[in-house]
Amino acid sequence: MKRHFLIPPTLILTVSFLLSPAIAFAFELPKWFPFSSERSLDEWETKICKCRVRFEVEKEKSGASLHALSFSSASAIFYRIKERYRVQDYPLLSWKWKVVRFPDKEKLKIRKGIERDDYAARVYVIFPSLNFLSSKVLEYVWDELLPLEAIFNSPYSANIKLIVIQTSAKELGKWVTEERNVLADYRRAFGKEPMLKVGAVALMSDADNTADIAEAYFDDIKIGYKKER
Amino acid sequence: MHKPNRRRRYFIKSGLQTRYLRLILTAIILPAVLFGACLYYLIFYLMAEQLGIPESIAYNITPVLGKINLILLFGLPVIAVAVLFWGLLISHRIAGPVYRLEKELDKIAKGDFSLRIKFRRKDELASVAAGINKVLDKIEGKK
Repeated sequence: MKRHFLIPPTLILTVSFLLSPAIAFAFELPKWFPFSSERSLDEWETKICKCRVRFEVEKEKSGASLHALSFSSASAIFYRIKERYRVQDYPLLSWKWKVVRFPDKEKLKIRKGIERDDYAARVYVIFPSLNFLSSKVLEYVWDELLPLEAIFNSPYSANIKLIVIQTSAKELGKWVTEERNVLADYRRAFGKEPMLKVGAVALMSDADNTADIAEAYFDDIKIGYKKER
Repeated sequence: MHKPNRRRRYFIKSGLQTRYLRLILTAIILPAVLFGACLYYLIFYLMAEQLGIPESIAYNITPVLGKINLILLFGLPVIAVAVLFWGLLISHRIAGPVYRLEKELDKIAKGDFSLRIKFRRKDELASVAAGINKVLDKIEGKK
């Protein structure tokens, strides 16, 4: 019996299987979240640290966006990147955000530490490691008290670096567009080349430590791309 | 009153008993360490995956990890000593009768057919000793 007819389908299946990660990867990046409907949150997981922050897609005159409202709470929405990518290949990350209310840190007597670790808006870029204690994290925060482009360690771990990229209270209530070169920021923050791949992006608004209210909006998150030449 | 037959030496015929001891310890310790290490890693890795947010991981898991490591630091040597003692007891149960059998068979080989090998009922090789005693009975019966 001639089996030549089996060769093309077998070949196609084998090649498809070998190429499938590359194909999935190619289709996934850049990943864009316009938050145009409630279904936009389907791919995001809720991660609760201390009580739940309300994350909802809200429609405004200018369009829909993601509204985050924290009442003495801290939780995030977390997007797990199925095929982790090298930030050297796709260094850019962009988004739009708007802060409506900052948690009141002025009322706190202490000047630094976990108690002041509240921000109206945070964007996380997570580089997971097999040893989870060695995972690296960049957090872009909007804070009205800290200097612009300040980089400092999270009070929880030196592997978590916070970068203040918005500091002006004048922009309160206004949409601001950000585009960050995550690779350059990583090098500045950690002082070395990233060895791990980007595995997740998360958004948070928290006011648990100050026991106050924080409110922000997020929109048009674009993950993993590079500038076209 | 009949005194219980207890061996006084717990480490006899070092070559044989050491081999058994090594075997027993490997059979207990190796799987336990492998299983324990996998479980240890898996639990914390899965918890970290579930928590997701790095601050939450650092706040919740790191202190627990520290406490567990402290318990292991003090607990593992105690467990190691207990396992060693247990291994010594078990290897003695095997090596003891073998050594006794060797000595008695040496005497029998020199011509002392009146000798009967006495083992405790719970000893390993007690049935072998009983079989040898039957053979000796038959030999003595034929004389």
